[in-house]
Amino acid sequence: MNNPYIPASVKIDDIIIENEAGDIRTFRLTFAYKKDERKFSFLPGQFAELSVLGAGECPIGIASSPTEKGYLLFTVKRAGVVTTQLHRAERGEIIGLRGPLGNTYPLQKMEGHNILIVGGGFAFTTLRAVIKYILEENNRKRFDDLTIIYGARTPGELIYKNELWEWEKRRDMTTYITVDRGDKDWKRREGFVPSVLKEVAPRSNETIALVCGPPIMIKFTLPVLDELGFIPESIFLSLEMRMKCGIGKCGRCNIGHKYVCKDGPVFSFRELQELPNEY
Amino acid sequence: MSNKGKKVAVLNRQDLTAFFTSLSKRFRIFGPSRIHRVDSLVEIASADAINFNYRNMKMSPKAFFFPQTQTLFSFDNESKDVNTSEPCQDRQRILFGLRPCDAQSIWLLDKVFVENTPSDPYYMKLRTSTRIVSLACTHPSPTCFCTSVNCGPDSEIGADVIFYELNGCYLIKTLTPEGEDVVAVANDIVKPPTEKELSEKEDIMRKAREKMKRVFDLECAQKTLDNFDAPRWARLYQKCLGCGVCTYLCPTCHCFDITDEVVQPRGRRVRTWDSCMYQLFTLHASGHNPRPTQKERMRQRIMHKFSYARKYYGHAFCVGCGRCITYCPVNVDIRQFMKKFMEEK
Repeated sequence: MNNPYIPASVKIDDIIIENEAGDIRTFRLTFAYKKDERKFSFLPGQFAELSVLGAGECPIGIASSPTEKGYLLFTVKRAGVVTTQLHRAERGEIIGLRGPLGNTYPLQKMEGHNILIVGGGFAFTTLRAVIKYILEENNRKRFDDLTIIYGARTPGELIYKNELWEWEKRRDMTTYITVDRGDKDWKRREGFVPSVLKEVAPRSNETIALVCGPPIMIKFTLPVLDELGFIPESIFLSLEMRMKCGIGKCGRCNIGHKYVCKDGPVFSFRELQELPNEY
Repeated sequence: MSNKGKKVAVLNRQDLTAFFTSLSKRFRIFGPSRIHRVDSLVEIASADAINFNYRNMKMSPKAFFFPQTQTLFSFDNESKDVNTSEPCQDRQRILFGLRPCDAQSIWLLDKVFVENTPSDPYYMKLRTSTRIVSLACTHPSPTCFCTSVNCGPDSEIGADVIFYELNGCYLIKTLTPEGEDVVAVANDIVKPPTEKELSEKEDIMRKAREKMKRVFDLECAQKTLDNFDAPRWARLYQKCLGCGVCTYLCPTCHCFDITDEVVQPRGRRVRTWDSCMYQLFTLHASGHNPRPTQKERMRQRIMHKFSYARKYYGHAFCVGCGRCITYCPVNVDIRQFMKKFMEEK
């Protein structure tokens, strides 16, 4: 019988320090065994439990797209016991990985639609996965206009910078990068994500919006989307919650009768409106 | 419930010893016994060790399938080699004398650990090697409320065999193929029931049900329960100390934690019972807590049992055993909560 609690062994292939503060790192992981790699079939939006034996596990969104073959990316902010241990890990170390877990962004529903992506801070990880997925050569034609609005507090806190600057130059997508407060070298936008969203006003008809960011950003983004004409059924949010098992049993990540680990982490705004406001 | 396909037999009380002797050749038998003045389910060597004079065990039977602490796997903390080898297959077990409410609670736990895929291999292993023999209730405790939550003193759900205690004998009803194995060992000492015995059983159970008046109606309570922001939540939790005893003793509470324990150089990943009544249960690493006070945690416990579980699994996660009422140090009474919900329109 397949045991969903046993982590697969993965090697830390590369570590990228993402921000100025140095507390956000991207880990590039490769499977130690081919059989585990073959079994790990996922889509953007899903997450996995990263495991440091002796410290424990923590749920982290998969930041790479399944179209990026041969490795997985996880962007981790140093916060608790396990993530602190992860940040101490070095290249070549073996850690554990359990997954893929949870549901995905609504890729089927998104096909043939314009896509608006609204992200803030380091909660941009699974949004990066879905962007990479859409931009993949064979996939790009299945989606219409792609618009990205991404912001962070300061220029130093933006993650995936090299890719952001590349996306800005591409002609098959529109990218708006903003920071709450720039510095002397910052030549791009300044302003909160919801204000930028209001200003650039992407069209809402035939558009699906994917939103992920800190609670304060979500709170002010949703009314702007509403003003722009987005209906709750077309807005999708990815949530996080304290989790342990990741398979809907340990009972701590529920919002009402939904488990974020199993029925989420991606919910439409319509679904969330029907659940208690406890997240 | 119909008797179709369910075999009924009668065992004389003096033959109980012979029945257990035959059973113990094939099974490890756990039965009710009074240990240090507490009724407990313990491994028994013979029928004499069983104490039939009990209302219910203090601990629910969930630990037989979902132990309070359980190793998921062990590892070498230096080389990080994982050892997933499982202990060899246990002998088949019989849990004898569970009250029907506790038997029904196992059926509810099956929904979480077996039916809600992926199944839990640790639970499955202990579950598939265990048969449940329940003993119908004739004298409910003052804290019992099984008839209010779709259970009852003679509920057959979750049991493989149910015993009814009659005058000088036991009426035995086989409920599942697994139960047939259990009763088969007594084939030569049981006899078919007489009409008198069958009507005696009906009589006893009718009286038992009459003693257990319905306290609240689930359907009716659900309507008011689903008002998440109702002001009553701010009152109802105030007595609660947050000790969590209700969740530990509850036969259907199944929340758990997974942690790593290391005693150099060996480590193990363990799962332990956890409780939604604790602040740390939902605390994020960022410091954010979606259930910051006891109010939200009490609401979670009651909503989970009587609203969320009904939506998710189709059944309330309560069997009315009354442990949370009996053992609460400040007399929080879940029945009173539910009654209040019903009164509010």
